[in-house]
Amino acid sequence: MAITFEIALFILYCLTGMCLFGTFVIIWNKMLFTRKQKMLDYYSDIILNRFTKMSDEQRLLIIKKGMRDFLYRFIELNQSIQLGLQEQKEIIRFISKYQFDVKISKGVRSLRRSKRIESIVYLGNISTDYARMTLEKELKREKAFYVKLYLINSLVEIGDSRSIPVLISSLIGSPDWFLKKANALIVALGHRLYQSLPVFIQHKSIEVKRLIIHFASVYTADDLKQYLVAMIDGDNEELALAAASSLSIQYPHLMADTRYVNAVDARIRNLAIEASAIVSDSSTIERLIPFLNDPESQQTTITSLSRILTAKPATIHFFSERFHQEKDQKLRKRLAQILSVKLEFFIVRLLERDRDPQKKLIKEVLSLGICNEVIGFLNRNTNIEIENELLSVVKGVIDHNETLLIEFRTYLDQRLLRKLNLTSFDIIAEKREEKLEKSKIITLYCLLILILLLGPTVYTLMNWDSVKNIINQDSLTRLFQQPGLVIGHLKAYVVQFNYLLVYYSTSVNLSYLLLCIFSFLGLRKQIWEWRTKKISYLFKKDILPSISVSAPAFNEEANIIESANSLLNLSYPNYELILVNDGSKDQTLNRLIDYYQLEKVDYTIDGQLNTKPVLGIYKNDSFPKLVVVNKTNGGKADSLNAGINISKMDYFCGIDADSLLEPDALLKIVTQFLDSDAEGVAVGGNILPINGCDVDKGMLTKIRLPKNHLARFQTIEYLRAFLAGRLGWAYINCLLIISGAFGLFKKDRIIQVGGYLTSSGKLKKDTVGEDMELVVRLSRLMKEKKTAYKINYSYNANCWTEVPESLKILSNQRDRWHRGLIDILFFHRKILFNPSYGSMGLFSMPYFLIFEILGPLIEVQGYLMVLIAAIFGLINAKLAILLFVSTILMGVFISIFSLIIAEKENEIFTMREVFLMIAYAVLENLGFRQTISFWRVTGYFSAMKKPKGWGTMVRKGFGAPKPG
Amino acid sequence: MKKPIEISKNIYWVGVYDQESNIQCNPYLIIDGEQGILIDPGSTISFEETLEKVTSLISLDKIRHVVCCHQDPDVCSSLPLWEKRAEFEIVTHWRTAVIIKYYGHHSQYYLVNEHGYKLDFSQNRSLHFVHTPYLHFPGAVGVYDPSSRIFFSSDLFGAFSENWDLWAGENYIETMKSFHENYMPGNEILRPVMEVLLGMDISMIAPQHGSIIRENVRGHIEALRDLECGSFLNPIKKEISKSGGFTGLCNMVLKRYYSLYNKLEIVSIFEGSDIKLDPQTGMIVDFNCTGTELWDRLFDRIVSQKGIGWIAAVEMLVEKTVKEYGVDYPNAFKSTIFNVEKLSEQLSQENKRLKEANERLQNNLKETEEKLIRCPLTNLHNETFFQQYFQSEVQDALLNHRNGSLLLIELDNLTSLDLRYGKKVLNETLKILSYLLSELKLGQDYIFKMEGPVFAYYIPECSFEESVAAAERIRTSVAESDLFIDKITVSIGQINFNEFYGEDPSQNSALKMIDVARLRSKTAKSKGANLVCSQSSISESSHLQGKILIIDSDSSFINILKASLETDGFSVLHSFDGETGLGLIESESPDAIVAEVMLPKADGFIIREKIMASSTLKKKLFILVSHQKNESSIKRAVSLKIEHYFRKPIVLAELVGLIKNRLLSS
Repeated sequence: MAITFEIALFILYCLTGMCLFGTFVIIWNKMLFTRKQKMLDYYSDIILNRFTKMSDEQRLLIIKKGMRDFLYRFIELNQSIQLGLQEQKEIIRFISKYQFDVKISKGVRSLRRSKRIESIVYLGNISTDYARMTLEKELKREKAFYVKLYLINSLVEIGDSRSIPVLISSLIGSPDWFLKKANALIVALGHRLYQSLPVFIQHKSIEVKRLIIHFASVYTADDLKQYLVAMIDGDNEELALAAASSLSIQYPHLMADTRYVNAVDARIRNLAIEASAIVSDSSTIERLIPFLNDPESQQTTITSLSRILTAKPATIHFFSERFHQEKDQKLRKRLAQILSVKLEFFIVRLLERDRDPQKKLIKEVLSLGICNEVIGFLNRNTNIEIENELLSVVKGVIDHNETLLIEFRTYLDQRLLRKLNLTSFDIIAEKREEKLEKSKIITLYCLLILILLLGPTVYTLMNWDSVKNIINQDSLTRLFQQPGLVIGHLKAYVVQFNYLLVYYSTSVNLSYLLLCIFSFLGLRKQIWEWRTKKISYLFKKDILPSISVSAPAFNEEANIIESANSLLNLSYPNYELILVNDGSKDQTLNRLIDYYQLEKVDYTIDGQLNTKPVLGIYKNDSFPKLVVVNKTNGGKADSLNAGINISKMDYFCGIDADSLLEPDALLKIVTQFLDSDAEGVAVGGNILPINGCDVDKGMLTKIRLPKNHLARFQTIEYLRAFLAGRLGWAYINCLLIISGAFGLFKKDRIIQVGGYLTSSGKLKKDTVGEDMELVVRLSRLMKEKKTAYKINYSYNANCWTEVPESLKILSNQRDRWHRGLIDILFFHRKILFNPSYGSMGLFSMPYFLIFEILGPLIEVQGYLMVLIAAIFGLINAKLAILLFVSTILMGVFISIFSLIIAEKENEIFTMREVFLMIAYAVLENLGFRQTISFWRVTGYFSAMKKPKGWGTMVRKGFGAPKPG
Repeated sequence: MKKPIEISKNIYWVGVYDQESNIQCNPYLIIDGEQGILIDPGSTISFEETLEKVTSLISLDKIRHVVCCHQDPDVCSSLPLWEKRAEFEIVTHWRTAVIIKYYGHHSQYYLVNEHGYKLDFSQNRSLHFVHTPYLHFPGAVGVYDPSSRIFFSSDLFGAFSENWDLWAGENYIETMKSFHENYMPGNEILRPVMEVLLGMDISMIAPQHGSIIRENVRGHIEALRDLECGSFLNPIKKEISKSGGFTGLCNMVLKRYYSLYNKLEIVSIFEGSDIKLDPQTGMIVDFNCTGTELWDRLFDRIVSQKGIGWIAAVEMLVEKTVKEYGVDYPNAFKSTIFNVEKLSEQLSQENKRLKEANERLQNNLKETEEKLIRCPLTNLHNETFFQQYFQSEVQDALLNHRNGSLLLIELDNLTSLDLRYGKKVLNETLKILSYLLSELKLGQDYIFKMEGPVFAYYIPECSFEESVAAAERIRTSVAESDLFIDKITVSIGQINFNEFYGEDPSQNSALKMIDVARLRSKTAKSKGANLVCSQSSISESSHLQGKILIIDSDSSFINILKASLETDGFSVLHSFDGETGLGLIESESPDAIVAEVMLPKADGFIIREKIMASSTLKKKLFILVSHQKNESSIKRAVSLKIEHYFRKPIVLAELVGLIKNRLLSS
């Protein structure tokens, strides 16, 4: 016990001082931020209106103070509006006269990559000769490919033909992903690139050939065309394929040549078939029909012929004639599939006298399993004669086709079902349950006993000499004769346990503090990085990956339209929204169908993950981004897996249907992938409580602090856990939790690990912590594959979600979280303390075990001991101060630190709200945190009992009035 | 009747009156000098008697020609018997000849179609033949004797009757009609022949059946001309299945009812019956019987619930349907009661129609008079009238330094009313507004209706303050009024005569004043509507070039574009999300819209889609400006007929130039 009372007091003062200082920093930052905003507005006014009218001296006077801010504003303005040529020239002349470009150029040599990138972006916009030459020099030197992309972009923006040789040589020996993006950037040079073409068209390297092929797909010229033709005939298969696809983009009539249609390589053949469909003439159909029997080209031929049929409706007679004459059963089926595009055309012709051909066709189409048109038509139709005819066809088919029967029984109107003597089919959801895992429960019991014994054992070891005496007594009777001795030991034990709590709390908080520092560093890096992400760069072709945003919805009728509206209007170049109705019992699906006027469609699903059956997919052409999936209930993880199956994009973003994304959240989250050569596997978004905010039609109109006290505590908690915690973990690449509310994943990797954990999935296991589990499994995969990877956290990709406002629901939620955590840690126990999993095995997993799972058990014991000690007057001033400092004051300090981080760049809360938050940061440590710890303990106990599933969260809906 | 009867000079009826039968056959004999010609010699039954009559008039060897108008046995089955006693040519059409030969005769033919439908049978007499195809045989002909002007019509103009008389009486028309209804195929075939006959000079018609017409010949021809005949034909012109079967027919009838009666009343008829109507469309969606039964039951139900009057209302439609589709009349129509009621109702309706037509005529006369100077909608004097009137007023006022005031009152909510309720309500609103203005009008003031949703309110004598007070009174009264379907507001542009003191009181000054007032009302509207504008300088208001709405979530972009457009004289509105933007489009009706694609609440394409649904808005200049411009978004833009789609960063001069060019040229 080296700590004296004076030292304890000193620590108390220090920490209090630091808290006050932190508060001051927050306020100072806020004022600075407002001033900076004003400054930027001032600069934009100067650039737009006054710059040309000022003398150089005046300009220098204004700009000298904030040259970077001035340039930043200049570039920002350049994103949405191009200044006039005169103004632009004037600014650049001014910059080069005072050698600002030289100053900026120094940044490109910085050791920090984010700083390097910033300078590169600036130089690209300054576009003086000096800037260009610096960039060219850097492009030759730079090793990191993602930095190279910025260099290439800047050089292309400057657009000087003299950069072309450097640009081209930078391609050689580069990885595939880089080439794709770099080529997309370089071809934007257009005619300048074409003029330099003679210089490198003879180049032998594959990378340059790929560039030329790519260029030929966007630039029309005769020699490029010949180049493509030569390439298709060349030896390199990959180049031939690339050339063929370029050729079919620019010159489909050439690609439709018989030579290519009959090519040996199926991929080229398919391209030729597609091209034929584009330039189709009367003979095309006949020419393509034989390919319907070619297993490798079948699918392409079907789509291509369907396209011809849609584009030239007159061909329908030809196709139907072909169908009726065809003897080959297989071919007949394919033709029926093509004709199914126009099924209604045939259905209405059931009124004609000669209706057998139509019936035959409809029958064939139905037996192919394509039944949505027929069901939809029957439900809409009012003509009884057609209805009876069509029903007779349907009856003939469904009698011996179980799947179709169920389909009709599920979706056909009651009235029509009665006519068919059928009853409606109700989907009965199977009950999902976590399995009782005996070994897990035994382990938990062992751990519990271990923790309970920890206090006495430590005490016994530390006071072995005196305890030995008691144990050495011959009989227990002597013990009762000396009750003072026992009571003395008990008293000492209570006091020592109090000290144990001090140590424990200190270590928890210190580790948190360490994370905070990592967070701060990570935040600084991310701020730099985001400042260099210029929207015109992000929206360039092939720079950002395509994303499927998938939101599972179970009984979400209150919020679903708002959520869908918000998710449909995100600012992102290439994404789709997959709403998965997870067998809701309420009107969720109907709300969507009514609001977006959706129609059930036949949609091909590549089912790579096992899920509960998908019942239907709905779309509307007016909302091309929206896909609504209806499936039987299987839980959130199962729905997300269904979403992955349906997704057609490269990345997968899972979100909660009751959450709102800010419009640029997707852009912000995805940029985390851009600044790293390591494979970006997953990114988590920043979660904030929406309680108290104003929401209108899925748009956050006013951000407000929640009115409810419990929600306010959670706001502080979220800021701390996400911004201070996860950002820090991400900085040292140990992030293991990405909230299910908003996370972005690389789709092929998810599929590789088998998707989210579900009982119907590969691993036959359900868990309540599927979001964390997936990240752990992804990390394991990457570690085991020994591939460099990055799992990141985005500080500014904000997702707003409703948090519980009642104690009961909150305790349920925490109980569930804790059970999930225990479940996952047990499931992946192999990683724990395993050095082959690197920092994940040595730091993050043990952290969760010690501080998150076992810690609360110690903590709650400790609080009990503090209570006993207080009752019996065992606490002296020093102990009181130490307890206060370690359990409360440090917590306050960390909360304030997180507020500093949260408020550094995000302009989320008003000044008044910031003061409120600081107050709540203090109050939080006087009860709320302890309650949370208590719930963790109860969560621990319920993990040892029979599983109780997810529990419910009653949603109020965004529009509902918030209680005052 | 035992003797031949001379119906005209040397033309004899040589037929036989058969009292047992109601069919009479009339052969005729024409004697000209030495020659005789027998027309439709008759059947074998009447041969003896006819032979007797003919020989009493002329020796048989003088009969050189026998005319057979068509081939029926009652016309010429006696031919072989005649042949045994005489030698003659059979005068007929070749088509008839083809059939006649089966009677087994051997005489030569004189085919009228080969001789120009003419037979010269003596030096000064020739007979003309009128081809009457399909009446009732393709080769049927009638014979016309120009000298006696008698038309031997064969079956035409014939009749079957119990009380036969050789000469046609007053009632002959009706008996003749019923014969034709049954024997002649149709009016469209009968009519052209009758038209030909009307053009001929005919004094008498001698048909082969029935009685000879010598009085009111023309009347008889006209009666046949207008006769609907061919009653056994029931032509099936339309295929019932193509029109949706009996369900379709019934729905057709129901549709007619919906146009005549209250829909709820009609729907209630079928409540409780097994005919199920769709509550939305009112059409039959289900029933439980065969089609013909449905056809009967529908009308039975209607008669039992609503009485015979309802049946009569669709009588014409049902009759037409029955004919067109060859279905039976529904039971309800077959009852005799119906026929009587139908007749009386028809008469009263005829009467009513006449009265209405008369009234309309009178109204028309009045309307054409008023149209020139009054607005048909509000019945106020119109703009043309106003301009003339106002010119004289202005001249007078400027000369005498009298200060009057003109208020131009413009309805603000034109577009939103049109969008929400449609043209009809818009007109109604203007009507009510004119009523309200006349209520508000003070003694000597005048109200005129201008083109568009604008009224002119003219105060002949007032001070500036008084006129402003009047304008404000009108504006607030309209805004507070509950008369309208929705709250409406007006923008008022005001001008006082004293602003023009000193100007030459020419014709122009009145027009100029109206223009200024108009500009001011536009200014008031663009400043937020529901305002009075009375002060603006003339030059200022002419600067207002158009209203532009920018929808973008990037405020700095809006600010820059706004500043640039405003210096060019446009008034600029903005919104940060699609939903509010749509609201502004509806309420403010901007002249041009500049929208980003990616917007909260409703994206640029949804905005465009909503705009396209309104015919007034879709012509507005619509420009998309976005970072998002790729193949799929361009395709979507093209499908929505968006002509201008800029990728950000934009060149400001290009966008502003486009807006200027488009708005200022139109």
